[in-house]
Amino acid sequence: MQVDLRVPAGLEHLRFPRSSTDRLVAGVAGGLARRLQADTYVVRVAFVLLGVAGGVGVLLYAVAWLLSEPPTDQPTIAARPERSVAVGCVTGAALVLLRSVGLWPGDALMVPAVVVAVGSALVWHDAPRGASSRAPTDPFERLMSGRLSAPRVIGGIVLIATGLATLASEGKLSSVPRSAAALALALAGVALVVGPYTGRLLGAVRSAERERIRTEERAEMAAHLHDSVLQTLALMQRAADDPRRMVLLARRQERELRQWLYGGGPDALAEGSVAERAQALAAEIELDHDIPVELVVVGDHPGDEALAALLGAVREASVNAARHSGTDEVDIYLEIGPSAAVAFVRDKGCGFEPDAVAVDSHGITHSIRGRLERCGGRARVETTPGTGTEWELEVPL
Amino acid sequence: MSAVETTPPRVFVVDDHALFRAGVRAELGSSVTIVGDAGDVDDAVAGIVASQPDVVLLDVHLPGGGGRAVVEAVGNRAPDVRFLALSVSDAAEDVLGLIRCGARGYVTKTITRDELVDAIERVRSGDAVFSPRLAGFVLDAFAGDLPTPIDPELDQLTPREREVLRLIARGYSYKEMANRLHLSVKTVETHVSSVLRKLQLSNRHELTTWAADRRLL
Repeated sequence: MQVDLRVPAGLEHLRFPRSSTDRLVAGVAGGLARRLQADTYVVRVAFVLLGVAGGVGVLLYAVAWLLSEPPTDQPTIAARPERSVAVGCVTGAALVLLRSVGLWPGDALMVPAVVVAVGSALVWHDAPRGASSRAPTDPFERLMSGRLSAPRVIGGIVLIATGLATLASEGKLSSVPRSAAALALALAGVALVVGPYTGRLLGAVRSAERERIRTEERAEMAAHLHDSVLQTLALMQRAADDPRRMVLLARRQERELRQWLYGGGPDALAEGSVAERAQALAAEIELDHDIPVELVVVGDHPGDEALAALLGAVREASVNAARHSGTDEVDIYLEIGPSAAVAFVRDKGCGFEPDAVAVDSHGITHSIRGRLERCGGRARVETTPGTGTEWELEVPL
Repeated sequence: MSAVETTPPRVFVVDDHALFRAGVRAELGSSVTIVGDAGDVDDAVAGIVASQPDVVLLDVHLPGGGGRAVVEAVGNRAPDVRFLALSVSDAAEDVLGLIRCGARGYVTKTITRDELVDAIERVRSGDAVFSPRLAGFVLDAFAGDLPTPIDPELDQLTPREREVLRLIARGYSYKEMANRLHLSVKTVETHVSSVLRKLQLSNRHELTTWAADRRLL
């Protein structure tokens, strides 16, 4: 909702952005506290106390909202203790003024409420962050700075307890059954003491967790880049006089980096899914045999025995192509469907006479056909001397 | 048609690596006319609209919005310009996204010079160019049945189209495919163009991405 409320001329400098992070209602108190460099908790308590006193706080909140601007992303700044105390003093003065003009629900309610408010503000005033690096010498500063120093907490709790006890004993709540009132007041006391602490603790835990994840990710990325890219760059410097080897190193690194960036976790190349293992296999053949391997995978599968056999057969067929065919590229296509996985390994090399080699070739008989047939698959080869070879390897799933 | 083919195609190169642009210029120099190049989205759009090339070689990843931003911004201002994505190390979503917004093909930067010249010529004449990797992406995108197909004809590949894509993925050239399938090269091209059309018009890609993002596939 965009409300264009004109602030009277001369008052523009009073405008302040609401807070998007430190908010309970509209972020007005958070924004105002930021502007005043006072503690948000103190500002909130001031609004509440003045609100109880004839609704003046509500009116002030509305005026402050009109003066405020939509939240902008501004860094949080440390509240200064003396500013918080100043806000407290102004609030006290305003209360005295309101009492004298009659906007007052009665001393019996307001006096204990103010005591409670001062106590809780004392406990929960947000000490300046980073101030702990130097030890404060001034007693006032020592009281106000440092998170949860013992005198502050004890003083605050004593004030809260006194206020609540006074409130309970002094008539205002006498119409309510005594035990219920005591219980409610005790709960209110606990909430005042523990509530903000819990909130801050959760915030601190969340930001610590975020920081830890960021650090871990950075470390993991650095380690990975060191193991992969930097190593490859070093290898490439040594292979500078062998352009073909340089190309292969670069291709392998490209493949591996792509794998790492777009799929799979850090160990994808070692174990991983079938598609990831196929990538690793192709990279390995490229490097071992100095030949580009173009791999396309459709579908994926976590992997089982049949697929392991298929990958083994693919490796054997590719290695044969790289070694014996004289081709300058091997194409591997692996398609993993719902009921079967099929792989094609193709080269445009010299081809061979299938009948002539099929009987005595250990590689073809055992590593390709035998391996696939053991898990219910089959291997088919299409080749003629001079036009290249294509293996079709299939296993059921 | 023959009059068009006798003049070398006018090509504009968009890639954020100056070294790569220089390499393409040097390599293609004699077979095509390079009319300009650019390293980011704004320069590319201005340059393409001004020079009206036949074919734009377009990197998928670019500073300022990626290849998609270029295709979308050029749009009606140079309707006759055709785009060929030329890239490396890309996720399927990025490549398919670029094809869906109008690029006529995708080849990887490891392509040989002759294959690239052939691909540029093919794209200029209005055909689609699928590298093995793009064929794999498309087969993946069209795998399985959609729960609610908007248009059954667009959401399925015909068996023949599937066969053609598989052969591309297996490393077959259009000519080798034509021989194997006893078709003319022109018919193979028609099938590939029809796959391109389905890819651009069906809702397959979004759904597949949607499912993959949520690890449903």
